[in-house]
Amino acid sequence: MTHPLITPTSDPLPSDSSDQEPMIRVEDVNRIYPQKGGDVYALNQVSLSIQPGEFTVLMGPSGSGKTTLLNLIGALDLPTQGEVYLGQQALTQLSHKQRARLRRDQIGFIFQAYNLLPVLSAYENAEFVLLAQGVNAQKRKEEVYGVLKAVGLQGLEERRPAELSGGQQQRVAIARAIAGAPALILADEPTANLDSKTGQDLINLMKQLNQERGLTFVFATHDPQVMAAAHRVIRLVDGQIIEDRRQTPHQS
Amino acid sequence: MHYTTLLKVAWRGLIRERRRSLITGLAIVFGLGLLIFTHHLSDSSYRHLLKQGIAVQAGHLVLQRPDDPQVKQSTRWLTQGQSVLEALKQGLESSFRLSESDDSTADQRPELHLVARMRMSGMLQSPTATARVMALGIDPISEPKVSQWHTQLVEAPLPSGEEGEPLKSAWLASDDTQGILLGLPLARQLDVTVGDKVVMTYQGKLEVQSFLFRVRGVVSTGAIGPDSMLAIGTIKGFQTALNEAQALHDITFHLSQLKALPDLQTEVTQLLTSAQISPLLEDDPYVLKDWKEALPALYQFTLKDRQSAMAVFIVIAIIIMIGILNTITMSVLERTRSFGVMLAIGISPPSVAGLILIESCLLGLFASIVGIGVGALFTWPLITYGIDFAALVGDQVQLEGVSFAVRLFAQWDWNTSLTFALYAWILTCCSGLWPAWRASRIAPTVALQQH
Repeated sequence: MTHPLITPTSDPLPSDSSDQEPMIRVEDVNRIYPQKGGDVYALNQVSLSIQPGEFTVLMGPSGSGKTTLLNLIGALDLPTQGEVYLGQQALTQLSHKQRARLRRDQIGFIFQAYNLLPVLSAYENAEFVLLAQGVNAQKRKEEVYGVLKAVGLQGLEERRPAELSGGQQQRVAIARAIAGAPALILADEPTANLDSKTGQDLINLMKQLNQERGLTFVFATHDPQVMAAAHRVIRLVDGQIIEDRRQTPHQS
Repeated sequence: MHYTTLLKVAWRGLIRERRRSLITGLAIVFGLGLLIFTHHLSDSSYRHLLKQGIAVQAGHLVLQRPDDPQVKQSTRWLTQGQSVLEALKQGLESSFRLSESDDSTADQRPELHLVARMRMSGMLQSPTATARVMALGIDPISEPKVSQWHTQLVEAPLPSGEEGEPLKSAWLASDDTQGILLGLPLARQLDVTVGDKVVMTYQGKLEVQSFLFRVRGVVSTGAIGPDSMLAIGTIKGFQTALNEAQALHDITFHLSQLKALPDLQTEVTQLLTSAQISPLLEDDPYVLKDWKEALPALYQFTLKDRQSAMAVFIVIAIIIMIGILNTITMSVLERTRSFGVMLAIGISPPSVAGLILIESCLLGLFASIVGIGVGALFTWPLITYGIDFAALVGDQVQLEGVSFAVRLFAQWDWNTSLTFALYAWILTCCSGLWPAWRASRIAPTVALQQH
């Protein structure tokens, strides 16, 4: 079932990626939370596909289902009905362990509240996924210094999260997200806790990573700055997609 | 995640969350320290009680006549006791290092003291008073190797009405047939001092007899009850008084190592039935009792008290475990979001569980090591200065004629302390199981919502 307000995808941004195999396919997905007063449809018959290298924004008011959809795409949660594919892989077919491995190796997460591990330094937070992947010490060191440099945190490697500003913490979170060389980055309100200047800097950084590394970004956000930078904006209301448009991103 | 990685991450978590680690660690450290202290306190009293009982009453093994209501207790002697003692010494010399042997450190044989005793109960009379006594005949040379009376000689008070310096007590000589030492309260009761005469009336083999003794000194063990009935003479003196030149009531065997008791028991049993000794015991029934049989009340008391102490230990251990479980659970709950993040970024649930278990085990390991130190620190005054029970009970505690000294000293016991530390470590590791399981079951989507 398609929402009457849905706008058909017309703009083949960012490149000719529409010819490629979609990176993400969401097919007729429902996510229902049983409640005392009746079932709540967090997502209702949602279908979409995202191509590799896209810089996509999921937007909508609170409770519209953005985070729920992001969680389903990130294999953190499973749909009540329907299927989510990452490449060819149907996520509902995977075990807990397989989903954990998929998140570890193919997806990077950036959260609104940064969610760094407080006992670890910036370096160690960025290194954490590589440790879990079993990357050897030398390669880990190179990779971590590389990503910290890429996010502009050179010289702050030994600082713990409490010793960093919000913007710096979010940069560490980005470094952690990209350190494991994932193909997909999911970011839930990554600029919500930051001032607009810091937010814009981070958007630029992610945009740069998207262009230089070909990373696919999917955001859940209210931030107009993020929306302005996106190739594609998907609007959700009451668990349904009501608009899906491609756009030319603003250059900042 | 590889276990070395988990170890590294767990270690970082512990040292960087010092407050949390300290709170949990201190609960283990002080719990373990308390357990170790409590053990040493109770164990020192058991050791002392048993040591005293074994030294004064029965030895680790005792050869004596069996209880027989037809024969009066004071006349239940081994008629050829002296010869049996000499034969036993000869027979045991090959397997045990007897006190008469040279004290060679190279000698691996267990040390053994054979001590003979005689016992008489009767009335002791001075010119002014009469008192009931439990008299003990000893060998003044071998007795000091197992008991402490020779160190408990005190100055003898002068009889009432006499003025001057108290008189010095002297230990008995082996051939002193008339010498007797009196407990301090007994000497006061009889109003006698060193050099005075006392007459003992007792049950001889056929009739009631009397014998004249001369007071050589006064003994104070610190226990007023036993001291008020204590009279110590020589075996020769008692044999003369009883007109039984070879008689002994008890031949006691005192070992330096309790583990040698079964071998000693076997060897003595064989010797008693040997051609050399059995004729000497032909006319006398005899029994060979180990200390548990010879001191049943003492044994039962220590056994029951140990059991109740164990129950207390278990209760303390449970309280500590609940405390540890609580602090570890709290530390997991505090970090729900962190574990949610770990799970979200792809750390497997078993790895998260492993991380918490490793944290618990690492913390338990360090806390157990420090706990031994704290236990040693708590116990150190007990080892160095002892604990003064006089302040608590006013006098000695007595059981089956055996008394606690008023000041008890503990002896450091590595085995038990390490065992407690091992238990504490295992308990801490086990305390981590439930929180680990719980953390591994956290739904990342829910955990990430937590503030």
